[in-house]
Amino acid sequence: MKGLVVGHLYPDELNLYGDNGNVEVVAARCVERGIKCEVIDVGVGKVSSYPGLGEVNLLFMGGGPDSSQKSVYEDFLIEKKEFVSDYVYSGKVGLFVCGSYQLLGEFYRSADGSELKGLGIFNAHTVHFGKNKSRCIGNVRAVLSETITADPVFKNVDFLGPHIFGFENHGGRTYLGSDAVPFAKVTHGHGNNSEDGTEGLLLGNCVGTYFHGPLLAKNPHLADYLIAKALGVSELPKLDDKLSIASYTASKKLR
Amino acid sequence: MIFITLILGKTIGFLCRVFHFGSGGTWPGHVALRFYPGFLNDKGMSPSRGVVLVSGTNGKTTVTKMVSHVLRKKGFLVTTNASGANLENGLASAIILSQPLLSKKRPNYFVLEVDEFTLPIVLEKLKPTTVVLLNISRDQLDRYGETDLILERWEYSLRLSAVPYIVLDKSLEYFRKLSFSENTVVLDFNEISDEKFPEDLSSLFYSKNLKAALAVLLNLGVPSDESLQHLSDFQAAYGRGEVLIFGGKIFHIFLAKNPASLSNNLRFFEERKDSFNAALFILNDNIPDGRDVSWIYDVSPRLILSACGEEKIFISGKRCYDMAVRLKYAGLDVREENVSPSLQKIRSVITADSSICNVAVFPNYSAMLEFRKLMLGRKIL
Repeated sequence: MKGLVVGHLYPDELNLYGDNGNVEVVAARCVERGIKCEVIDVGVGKVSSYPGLGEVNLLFMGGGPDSSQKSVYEDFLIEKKEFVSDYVYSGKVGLFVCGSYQLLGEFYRSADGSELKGLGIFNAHTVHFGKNKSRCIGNVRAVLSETITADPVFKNVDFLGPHIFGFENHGGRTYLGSDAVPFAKVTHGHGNNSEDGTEGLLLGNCVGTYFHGPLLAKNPHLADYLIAKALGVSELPKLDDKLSIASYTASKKLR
Repeated sequence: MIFITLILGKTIGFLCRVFHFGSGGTWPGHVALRFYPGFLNDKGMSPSRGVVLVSGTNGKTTVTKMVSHVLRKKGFLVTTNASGANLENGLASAIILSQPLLSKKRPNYFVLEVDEFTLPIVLEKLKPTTVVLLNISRDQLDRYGETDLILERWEYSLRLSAVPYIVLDKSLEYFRKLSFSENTVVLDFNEISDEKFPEDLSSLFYSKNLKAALAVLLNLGVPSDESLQHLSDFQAAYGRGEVLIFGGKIFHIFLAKNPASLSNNLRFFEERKDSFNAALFILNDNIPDGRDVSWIYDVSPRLILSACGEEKIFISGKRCYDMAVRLKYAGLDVREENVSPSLQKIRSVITADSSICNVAVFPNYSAMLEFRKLMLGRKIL
């Protein structure tokens, strides 16, 4: 097995709310199983200046404060667009949290009406209503999409069930296009827009989500699912997850 | 009006103390501001020499304490909020409780630490002579939104109120970008030389805090040599390097409320880890802490491992399991039996362990108060 190769987009710029922890978690869960794991940090500049990106089987990108997102926006749209679109459409595994989830959509409309173009890979767009609507902040719970829970790989690696927990903190509200599949259904909290009960988006094996926490630390079964899909295996050796399970169980009660 | 407000505030403060209802750090001000909303603006209350406000994510309490300490040693009458209550009601409480009722004698200085989001609100009211901006990093983002927003509000309000002096750290790019009124003199506290800093002061209190305090004092006319002399007997602010003894064990408290303060404290601890045998992490998610604990993953796992890899690890607090998972992923040997939301239980486990002598405690804000309450019977002072 060649192991997990994580492509981490803009780790220095987009690292808000512990999102980089997602990379730490998948790496640690591989290492503990004796699976090789390599992380390629991808910053600003041409894709060709980062050798080995062709090997990536788990692409991760987090969110950042407005100033950092602005600083990588042009680079992302110009230098990374082709790589990211090809990657997502090839069916490989990806995780895009918060700001980067929004950037993979069609556009982001600010409160003043101005629009920022997104990559247009995800059939979704985001609107910020300014002071008219408050930020979506708080502990959040959701049930994973059936597309995931019905996957035999998920059934094999799952040890916690269809529920996922996290913390959300976003000003923009995301609306999915008619054919888009939500990543999960919210049972507590706001999710995409606090209106339609959807949370995130699932396209092939790529996930866009508002879940911080970080997502994969709080939901180790989901971490294993993404690892298994990335490696193309149907099962993974079990780990000693007593503490993770205790944390997951405690999260059920968070208001 | 002032007189009645003071009587009211002081009575509330007295009742708080007698009936152990809070620490008296916020209620007197809360009630006083309800009764007389213009209290903070009232010229009858302003000190004779000046107002110093200290804000920023980390170091406020320590810098405020250092500046007050030196000014008091020089014989000045200083009003300060040593309890760390730094919202409007906390500032008002400090002012009420320090003002003698039947004397015309006014304090010489107000030296107050101010919450990052409260600073813009109180600038017009307190009319500070000097504002200290220490740093800004992620802290309680679920309450505040983003750091950019704080910087924007600071720039706007400080420009509007044309504060005479702003003392800040120009080595930080986000501060260099700010532009203030042309009537404002901006002083860079990073220019203060740390050559003469005594080892214990600079290491324990993060030399930037010391630089900031010296810069303010210099601006108030106190030469740095003199300030350092006065600081030779400076005691750590509560919960910041404070030492508590219980059951024959020595607990050293290092407030760790956000990625920057936990990282700084871990770096400090790393250099002294040989003198410790255990580390206790306490993580809560109460409102004053911020409900979001994701930030624990913003601390480098390599730093966690190099600082605590050889220590016995204990974990408590409402979110102890999140912390346990985080430390485990960083590579620490986390034992289930050493993790519990009950602080009392974890303390018993530690005191029962004869191999432990010195324990480094890394609590976030409300966890630090709870730990002090358990150890001392009181949360704050």
